[in-house]
Amino acid sequence: MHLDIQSLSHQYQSGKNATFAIKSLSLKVEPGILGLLGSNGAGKSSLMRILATITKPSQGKIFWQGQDIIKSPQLLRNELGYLPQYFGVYDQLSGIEFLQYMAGLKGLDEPLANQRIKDLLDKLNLSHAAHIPLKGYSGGMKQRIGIAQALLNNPKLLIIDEPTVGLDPQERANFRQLLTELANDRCIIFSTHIVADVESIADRIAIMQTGELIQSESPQELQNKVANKCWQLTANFSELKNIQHNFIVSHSLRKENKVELNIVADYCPDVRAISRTPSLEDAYLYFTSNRVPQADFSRAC
Amino acid sequence: MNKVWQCFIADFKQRTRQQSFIVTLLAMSVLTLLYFPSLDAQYQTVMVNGYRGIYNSAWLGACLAMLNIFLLPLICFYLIKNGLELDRQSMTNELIAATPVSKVTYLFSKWCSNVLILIFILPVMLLTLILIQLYYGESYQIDLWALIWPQLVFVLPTLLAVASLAIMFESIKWLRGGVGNVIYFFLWTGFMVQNIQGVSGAGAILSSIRDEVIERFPLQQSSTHIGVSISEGVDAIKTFNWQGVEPTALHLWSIVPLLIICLTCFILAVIFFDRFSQNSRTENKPSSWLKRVLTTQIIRRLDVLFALLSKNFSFTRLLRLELKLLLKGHSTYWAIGLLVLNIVQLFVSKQLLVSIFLPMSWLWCVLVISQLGQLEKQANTLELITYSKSSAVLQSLTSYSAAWVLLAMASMGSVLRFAAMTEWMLLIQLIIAISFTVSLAYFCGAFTGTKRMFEVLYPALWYVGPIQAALYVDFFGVNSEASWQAGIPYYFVAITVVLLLLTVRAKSTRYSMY
Repeated sequence: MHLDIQSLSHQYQSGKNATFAIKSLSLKVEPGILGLLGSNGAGKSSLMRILATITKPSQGKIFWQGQDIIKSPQLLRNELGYLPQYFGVYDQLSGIEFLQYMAGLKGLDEPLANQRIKDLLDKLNLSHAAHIPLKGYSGGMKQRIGIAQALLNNPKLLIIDEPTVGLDPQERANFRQLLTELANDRCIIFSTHIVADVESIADRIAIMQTGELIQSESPQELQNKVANKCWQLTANFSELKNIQHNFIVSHSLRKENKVELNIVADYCPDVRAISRTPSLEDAYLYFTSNRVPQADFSRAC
Repeated sequence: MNKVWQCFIADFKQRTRQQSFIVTLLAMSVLTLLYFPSLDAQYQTVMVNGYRGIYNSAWLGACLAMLNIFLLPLICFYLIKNGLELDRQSMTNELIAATPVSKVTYLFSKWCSNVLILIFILPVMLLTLILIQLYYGESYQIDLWALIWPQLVFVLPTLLAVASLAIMFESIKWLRGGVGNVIYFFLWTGFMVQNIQGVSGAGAILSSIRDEVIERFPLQQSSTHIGVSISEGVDAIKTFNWQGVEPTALHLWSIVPLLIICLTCFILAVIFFDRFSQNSRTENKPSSWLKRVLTTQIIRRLDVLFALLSKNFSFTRLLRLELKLLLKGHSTYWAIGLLVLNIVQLFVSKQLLVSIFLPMSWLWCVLVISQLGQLEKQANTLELITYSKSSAVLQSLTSYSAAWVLLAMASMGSVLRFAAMTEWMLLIQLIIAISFTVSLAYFCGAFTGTKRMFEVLYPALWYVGPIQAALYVDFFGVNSEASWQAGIPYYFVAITVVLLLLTVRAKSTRYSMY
């Protein structure tokens, strides 16, 4: 079971001012969780829509189990679960009615559909609201209904675009747990710009920037790549602005009248800085930032 | 089959669980009541050679079928032309697009849902009809078959075709919006004419009634009339007992073309439906010389001038911005068309000007002013406007004034002509017509939250009023002197004020909800 993306490009405008949403992207997706990271506008949602067979790409090929899904999208749709970043519901229907509707569209038999709906409502903690019209749902509940509809047909390929938006910390933790349980026998592509969402669960991380795939490694490999570039510096508040201007600051913590900063830089930023263990966020910021340390600070240690 | 059923039932529930559906059913019931006035009412509807049938089941069933054949295709089209739009607006379209459901299955379920919604209207009207028959008591014998068969043979196939047409209009990109609404209005007009003149359908019932009246009362020399006519008093109306007709092969034959339309439209819908795909790739064509001149040399300079003139008062500042909001996004060719129509207004004869070119210039603006009153809902900016508002009334009045200014600009050629000819009465009627049209647009937009109602209602009024010169709908002043004598301008001033007050009040209430 695998998804093979080959030289994929998608352009929104043609002619002189051609705008590429995706540029020559190649990627292999194996069973497990692929975390797709990138800033807003990096092209993640465009890629998601192409993989979900909603948008036809300008160039390139996508193979699912060896079959071209650009030519025959129906082959994938039977095995696909998709949660778009922005989606809506029929607000006059109850949660259960909406899921029955989606199950119908996915071609599920009624008894199987009803069983799946019951299980998913239980898993996503929505059983109590199953018969309430969706217009009465909170943002988090609607998001969970979205997740439930994506899982209805027990998909072999699950594409979820920013699924944790609107979920509270407890719901996010539950959702990560659910994804981990599901990841054994299917491909999951989880797009987000919140690194913490994928840090603990992704088998592989792909980082996109301005439509291009700039990294595709395991979380550990990515962290190894920045292992000697992560520093901790306790500085005065008066220095903060200058440091933020010159370096990538991945985290800051106020400590009395000073501030403890996690810095990512090719060179030691200051004589007071000490080396520290890298995180995925450090790697993400390092690869997506175009800043280079200034000469004044370089080789300070 | 499960796919069709689930899709159909969900769509049907979503569309019928809204208050507007109940309101529509009630409105259809009221329409039925109004269509069958008593003998001493101020108006009559179906009259043949000065005769009308007594209100027995045969007469009521046949007349209701005629009303439905003529009116339901218009009302129902706009009622159901939101099946696919609903999925786009509710943003369920991407979820649907990623499922394996086929275009045929999805569209067929939408068609079934459309049909069932339309069929719901018929029992409501029939029930009202039975109450009407019992209330007037001209015949207490309820013949269900006589009431129902004209609806089954004439109305139902029409509704099936309308359901298909609505799907087709929604599937073809350029027919989806206001242009489609206006095009459908003219299709409907053609359908009406064809139906009245045809030997099958409504024309068959009408000629059957007419033949019987002529045979039984050969001395009468009056005409056949379907619609609203002013009653000349109880004594002037003669009634007769019409026993109705049974369905014949000719009647049944009239179903065939409607079924062919139904099937053809559905096939076209399947061909053109994009399955909510997002493959649109815009071509960056260099803008034409004409467009560049119009935007940089004329429109931008006019805007600078307007900004300069309006900067001292909050009302005029907001008016300029509301006008920009109305005009943004419309094609340059639309502006050029408006300019050309204005130039034509300067040179054609007075008759042509009042009855053709001035109404045409206004029809040209329908898709622009139909945005009035509902822009904030469509753009989802209601909360932003509410918290930043200086006054809901000020905002309402500036939107209203912006549309007023637009229609005045569309009539500049006529204004100059009327002033040059010292046709002051026509000028006053023009001002009343602008005020009425804008009030109507604002009312429709604010109360329905969509552009559709005005886009349908206005062409209908436009056709009956200025084009057909019907005195009582002559808001334009085509029958200038007769219109003043009948007091029509005063009625329209009153309607304008009522519509405006209702709209401002509704909008103020809506704002204060936050």
